[in-house]
Amino acid sequence: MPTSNYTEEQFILGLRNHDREVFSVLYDQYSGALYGVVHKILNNREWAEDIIQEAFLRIWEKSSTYDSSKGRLFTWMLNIARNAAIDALRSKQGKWASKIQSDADLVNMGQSVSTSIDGIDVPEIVSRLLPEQNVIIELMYFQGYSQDEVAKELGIPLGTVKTRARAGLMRMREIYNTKKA
Amino acid sequence: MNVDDYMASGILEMYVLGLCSVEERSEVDSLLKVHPELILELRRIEDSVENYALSNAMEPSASLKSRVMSSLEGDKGENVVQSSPLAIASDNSKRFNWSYLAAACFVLLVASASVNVILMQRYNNTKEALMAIETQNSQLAQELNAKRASFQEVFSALQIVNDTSVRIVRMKGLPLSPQSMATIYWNRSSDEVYLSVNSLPTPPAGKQYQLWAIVGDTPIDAGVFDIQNSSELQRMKSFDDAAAFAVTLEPAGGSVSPTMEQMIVVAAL
Repeated sequence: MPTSNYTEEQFILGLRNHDREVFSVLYDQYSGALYGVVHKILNNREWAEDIIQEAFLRIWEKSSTYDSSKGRLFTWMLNIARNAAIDALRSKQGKWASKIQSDADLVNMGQSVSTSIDGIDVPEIVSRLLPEQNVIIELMYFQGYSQDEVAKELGIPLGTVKTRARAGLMRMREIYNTKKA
Repeated sequence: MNVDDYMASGILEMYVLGLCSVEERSEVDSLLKVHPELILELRRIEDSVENYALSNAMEPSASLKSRVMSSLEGDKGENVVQSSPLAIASDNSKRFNWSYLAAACFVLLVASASVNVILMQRYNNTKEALMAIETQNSQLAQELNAKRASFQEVFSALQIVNDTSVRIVRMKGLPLSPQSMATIYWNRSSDEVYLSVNSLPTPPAGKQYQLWAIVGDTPIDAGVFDIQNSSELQRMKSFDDAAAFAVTLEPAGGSVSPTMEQMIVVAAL
């Protein structure tokens, strides 16, 4: 991962001024992180690259709408990239197709969770989350389901969806905080 | 509100990941303004999300960066697009300016298309009007046929009634139904017997009226009839001789001999 000496404030300022040099560094520093998430959503390299291009263009054009009081620049960029990917996924698959796909994914996910216990080629994060929490995060974050849609899909109450999603995210956070420290 | 509980609920994590509903999002937005400690917590969450994304990073292909960077060159890109047609136009101006011809053709095409649209609209309007008139016309034709048929009926009835050989026999109501009346038009040269119902009660279900001609002392069946088309003349059986005519109420289909207690109208000649 290339690193730079730019601070977040310098990135923000450079973006506002449409400074191409700063933007180039921003790309070097974060395209991989954004691409990882977008690729996980779309599961296709070319498609994910098209969406990353679209996302960076949007970041460039919409830089004036970024509000630092509501969160970090990276969070804003990540949400732009994720939203673009989710929109692409949904418009391509259509509601029905995406439902079928997600059902298939749920089946596959059950398998991957069990294999992950043996430590085979599955991200560490997955193996350390409880399967039921993982499914919800998968559906919401990587497939763009709303909380209501998850409740309908899994046939569980909306309150349970909220509780499990939050528990899963808290746990995920613990893992990454420990990693950093 | 207990800020610690709120932080422990996990809603800030959802907020950072963009997974909140609209209501939850605006709730967090307004709480962030009044509780600075929530902002600190929010920053920590954002750090861990960034950590997650960075540790799951994948390298896109190297060519993507130049695609991204060149897609930013909005201003320059437009200049390139604008300058090239101008350059071509000035090169060709000495020979023949095809662009004027193209423009003229385009104008003609647009004009022709507009005329077509107008003509098409008129054609559609005319077609609709014609269809409406055709529908109306066929309705009128149907009405005319119905009128003609009913005129034919009345006219033939009038001919029967007006024949010089016709004898008109009015059958009057008996005590069973004093208001009832029916008329016989009996052509004495052709022996044809026609019946016109002036006023008879509607027969009960399963019953029918039957006309009798009394020849000598014997009642002879002259046919059963319904009273639905009371304005029509109904052709009955022909007789060359009769001493009286009478109508009785009989089981549907008629009887061999009349039920005398159910005699409704009668006329002796």
